[in-house]
Amino acid sequence: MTSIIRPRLLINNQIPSQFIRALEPVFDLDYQDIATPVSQEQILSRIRAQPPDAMLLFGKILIDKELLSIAGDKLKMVATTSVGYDHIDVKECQNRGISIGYAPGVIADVVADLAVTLLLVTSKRINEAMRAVRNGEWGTSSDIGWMCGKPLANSTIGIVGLGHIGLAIARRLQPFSIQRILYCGKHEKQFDSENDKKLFQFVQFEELLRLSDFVIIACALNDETRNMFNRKAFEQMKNDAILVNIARGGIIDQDALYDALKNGQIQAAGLDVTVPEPLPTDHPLLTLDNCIIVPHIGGGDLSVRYQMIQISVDNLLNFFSGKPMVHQVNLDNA
Amino acid sequence: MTSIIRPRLFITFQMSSQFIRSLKRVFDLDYQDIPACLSHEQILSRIRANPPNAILFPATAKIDKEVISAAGDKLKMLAAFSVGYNHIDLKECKKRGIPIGYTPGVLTDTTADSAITLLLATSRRIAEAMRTVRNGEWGTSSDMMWMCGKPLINSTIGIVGLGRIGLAIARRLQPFSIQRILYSGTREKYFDSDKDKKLFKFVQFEELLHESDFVIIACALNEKTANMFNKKAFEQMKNDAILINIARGGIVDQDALYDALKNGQIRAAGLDVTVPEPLPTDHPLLTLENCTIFPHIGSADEYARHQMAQICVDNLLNFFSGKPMVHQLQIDKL
Repeated sequence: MTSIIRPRLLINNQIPSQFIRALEPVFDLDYQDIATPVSQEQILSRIRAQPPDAMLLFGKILIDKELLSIAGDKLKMVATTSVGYDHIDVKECQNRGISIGYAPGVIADVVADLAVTLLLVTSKRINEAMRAVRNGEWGTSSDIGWMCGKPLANSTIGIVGLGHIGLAIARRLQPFSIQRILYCGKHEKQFDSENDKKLFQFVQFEELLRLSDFVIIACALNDETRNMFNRKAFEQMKNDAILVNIARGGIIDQDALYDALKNGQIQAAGLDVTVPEPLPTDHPLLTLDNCIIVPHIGGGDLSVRYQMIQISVDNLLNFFSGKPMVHQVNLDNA
Repeated sequence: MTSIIRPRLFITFQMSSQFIRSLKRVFDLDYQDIPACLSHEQILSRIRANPPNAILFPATAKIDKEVISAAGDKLKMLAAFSVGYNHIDLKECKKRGIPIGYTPGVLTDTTADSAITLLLATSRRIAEAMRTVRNGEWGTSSDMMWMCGKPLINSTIGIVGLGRIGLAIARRLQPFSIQRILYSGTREKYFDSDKDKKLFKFVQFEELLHESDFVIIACALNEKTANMFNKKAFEQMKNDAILINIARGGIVDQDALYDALKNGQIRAAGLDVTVPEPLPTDHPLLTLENCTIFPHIGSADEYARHQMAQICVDNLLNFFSGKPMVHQLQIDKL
């Protein structure tokens, strides 16, 4: 009807056309339908060329002071398709009055699935096992300990951060004849059933490290958790402990992890997240047999990715029509 | 006291010294403390040189008519370090009245753990994922489907053979937000809880193939199940189905499996067992990206191996002191 100025939306990644069609009626899109990743530099130059009112972002684009000052006053909202928002300078957004939409919840199931996958493939040493099949080592040893893994039966599981994802991991591990689950974090959780009250125990981080056979990192990355797994932490862990990280790479001091794995301070590690991502192919961690690394595929399940984009699209459409977002980062609590 | 003739025991594989010590007290041992595997020929020539009263052997040793006749009348007992017994000529044993000790039960947990490991590793494409980290492919694609796996959420699980291990697999899959479990086998099982009655459904093999997103083979190998997964079976399966075999290689027709995987008749397979074992390193199945193969590590966990060894020792000591074995194979009931 009247010539309303349509908000401009920058999208940094290829997305299925159905979502583009949903956004097009409302936004002027700065979008390229190609499968190559866009670098931080390219994003900055696109913002410089045509400052957007909103951004729909996938992956590791840093929403830092530099980007926000280039975007300037025009930018009203950032929609990230991720659960975490440690790549966003939340304080600076708050100062500038920029709202942040994100996509929590939907990913818990698949990330928990991957956490259990990583725990199992690491404890069963499947990288070595698969190599033995291919290089002819299979069948050359009558040692009954050959390729033996670390059993889950009667083990103590330690979960650092028992949020949505941490709890989904715990539920999946319950039938594996485990003995108990220790967890640490900001506060103790309330459980209703007697079974759960017996199974779960809230402990200090140090106690969790000392007692757990398997330690799973499922907490957010923030100033308190950054490099939480450092030299001192590894010294406190059992020598046959297995560490699994499906949260954020920055929670682990990777140099300290390398030494701990190399020196047998812990038995093995399984990582879905690293610093940086992708990890350089000549990184020392990749030389270790007892370190299994997968390329941040925690959310790698098509139905989940669709749901996360849908939430982000709804966040955008709601925000620009004056409605509350489906999931908005609460800047006061962040 | 009196000069009793000590029974002679031939051990075909390497065992921990603690078990050797307890056996030495009663038996004259024909044992070499080396991790090399004995060939069929080597086993035969050792038996011919010194016919034993008992043989202790793992699943990789074939105890056929030739071996049993080579031992002759002196052979009084077979002690199998295994849960399965298709490597033993049962007819010949029955004819000669040779009792067989074996180690059922102890492997249930660890084998079920391995089945879940294989299922998750296959559905989340862990082998490919690890490779992309090492070869620098990680981060080169912004394709949303990159490394996406097949979700367990709302899936239908088909278990061929719901025995002890099949049921342990089902229990472990329950918290993965699956929809239902179909099973086939010789007879329907009775479940007490209403929840189980809803979750589990007994179906014909064809229906299981037709309906399942994940098909798990957990039955014994016998005349009915040999090559049960043939060309016709794969034709009936969903095109995105994933097949897992932790039972015995002979249940799957490997040529038909190769074609089914190559032609996209099914999506992927995860095998812990093959024909033969070890699989030749130039086997066509090893050329396929969508086939994950483990070197029969289903039971490879130190705790389970230790328990198995203990049962074998107890079977032997009991038998030769006139007591019932801990676990004797009931040949008559087979």
